[in-house]
Amino acid sequence: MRSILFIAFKLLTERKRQALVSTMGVAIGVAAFIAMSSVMNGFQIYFIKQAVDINAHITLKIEETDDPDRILKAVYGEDIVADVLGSKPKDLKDKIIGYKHYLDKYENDDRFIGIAPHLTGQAILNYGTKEKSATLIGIEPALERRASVVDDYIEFGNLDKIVTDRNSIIIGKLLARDLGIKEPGKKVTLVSPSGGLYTLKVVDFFNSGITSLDQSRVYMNLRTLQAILDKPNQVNELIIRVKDVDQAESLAAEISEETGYYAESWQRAFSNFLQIFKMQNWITYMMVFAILIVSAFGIFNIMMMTVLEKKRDIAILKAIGYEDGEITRIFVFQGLLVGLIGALLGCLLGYLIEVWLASLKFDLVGIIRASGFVLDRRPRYFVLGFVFAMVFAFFASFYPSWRASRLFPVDIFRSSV
Amino acid sequence: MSVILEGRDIRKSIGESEILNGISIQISTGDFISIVGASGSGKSSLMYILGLLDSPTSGDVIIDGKKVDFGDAKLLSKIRNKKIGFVFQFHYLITELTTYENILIPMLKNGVKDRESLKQRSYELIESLGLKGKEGRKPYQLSGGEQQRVAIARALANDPEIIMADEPTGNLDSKNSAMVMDVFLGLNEKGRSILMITHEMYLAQETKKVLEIKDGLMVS
Repeated sequence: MRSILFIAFKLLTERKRQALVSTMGVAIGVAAFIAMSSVMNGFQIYFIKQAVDINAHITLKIEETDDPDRILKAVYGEDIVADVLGSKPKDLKDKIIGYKHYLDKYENDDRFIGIAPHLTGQAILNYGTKEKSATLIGIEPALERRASVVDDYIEFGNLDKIVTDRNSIIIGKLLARDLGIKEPGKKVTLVSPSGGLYTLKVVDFFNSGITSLDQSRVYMNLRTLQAILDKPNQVNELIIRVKDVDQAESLAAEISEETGYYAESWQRAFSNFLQIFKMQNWITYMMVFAILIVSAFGIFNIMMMTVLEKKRDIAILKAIGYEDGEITRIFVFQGLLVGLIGALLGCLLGYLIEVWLASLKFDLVGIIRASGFVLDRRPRYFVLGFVFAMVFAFFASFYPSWRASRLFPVDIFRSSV
Repeated sequence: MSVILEGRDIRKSIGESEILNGISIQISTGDFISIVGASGSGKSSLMYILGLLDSPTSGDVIIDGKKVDFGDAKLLSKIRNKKIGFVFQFHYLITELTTYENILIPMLKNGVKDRESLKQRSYELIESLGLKGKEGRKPYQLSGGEQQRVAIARALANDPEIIMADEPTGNLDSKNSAMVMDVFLGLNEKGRSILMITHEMYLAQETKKVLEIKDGLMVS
């Protein structure tokens, strides 16, 4: 083995320029993989974590169906072909019957962390001359804390104020900005769907970083909203926090079966985003794959050139007694050495790029809001980048190495004459 | 004198053409045999087969009394490494390695691990072949004669029982040819067996036995 390493190292280090180009190719590929994975996954993980934790892992609600044929179908079966004309949208029975029973039941199930009731509705908020539509969510803070992480995103920690002062509300940070409210304590007018006017005090801001939520959401006491919407003791959603988020889909199916209501897992609720992320990941990894392929071709090229130029050396090594497998290893080792140094340099470069990206400060406003890149800096990307580089280096060098081992020394000696 | 290597009724065909037509040869300890013949007569082919670099179409090679199995590549490599040293018309030195490193290569393959032994053996050879002071030089920094002497040193690295040289002076001027020939004669005097292929009769006549190949047959 020592002789193989010695020869491989010598052959490689004496061809510094070619070795350097190949090594840099690998390093750039690995660094690109680390940086791009870090940025893409950082963004995605941040979004999913925020969105999932703030909303719910599972939401139990009334399914939104407005099928004008439903009565005919109920009478004549699903196969009936009918076209109902002049039908108007009907008011759905938007409440979960016996929700307290479900609260008790799932609260005691050790697969769940917490469950909380919601009443949701739409309204208009007025502040001065400004007018904005809002999504109202009536909550019970004590239960809400167990079922979501809403508390983490209340800017001044005043969630309990909606319990002590039932006419207080917490509004989204961007909604507040749009209304022109800069600090808590301001009074706004709420116009309910039935036309009722209510004066409520803004006691805090909700700032999740998810633009769509911060632009529309208003939290208030469940009882207050029930009164405003004239839905006493009613809730139209139960949110559930599960211990294992990956189990949400199967648990949702189970809950749906048990309750008869529609249970939507976070995966289904964010399926559009998850699809986009999946596509985004494909594009990212295809680009990185292309870079790594190019760098692998760099290694392949240098190894093939070396084998062609070193035919005489290969012949004499065989004459001296080196076996086919040892000749293969001499050249594979060169490829792996390029891969190893390239991968290590790539990891270092990737780390420096991450540090640089993390130091950049700018206002990012899109589907999330942040003051710079949200990076996922887990070591797994370094490990994966390193492993990919070594695998690519191995495959890129294997064929030329195998070709080298197949050379017949007598043919070389004869052709040299 | 014991027989080190023997070729029995060796035949070699490539396609339709018959290169060797049944040659038998014995090389014993202390022999210095030269094989002469015209170009294409089969001299080199015979040496490649006796040196286990190529396999015969039929016939046997016997080393230390044992028939060589040409299907066992591992065994062939081992015998080449330990028992045979090759010198070719072109030096075939690895250009990236120094004189010292080129001589190390067969010893490293032979499993010599002790750094001191490696160094001692290499420097012995360097000195005995008049290469002192050239140990750190790359092949392109040496003259033709020096390059060939490094190749001889490499062939001697594992102290093989026999040296096989294929036109070792074919690429050298007369002065360097004489120098290389002197090296071979000196080695033979010390008991080393040598099989040399050459087409120069004046060099062949300096050896102990001259064999001639014509059209794939041993004629003398």
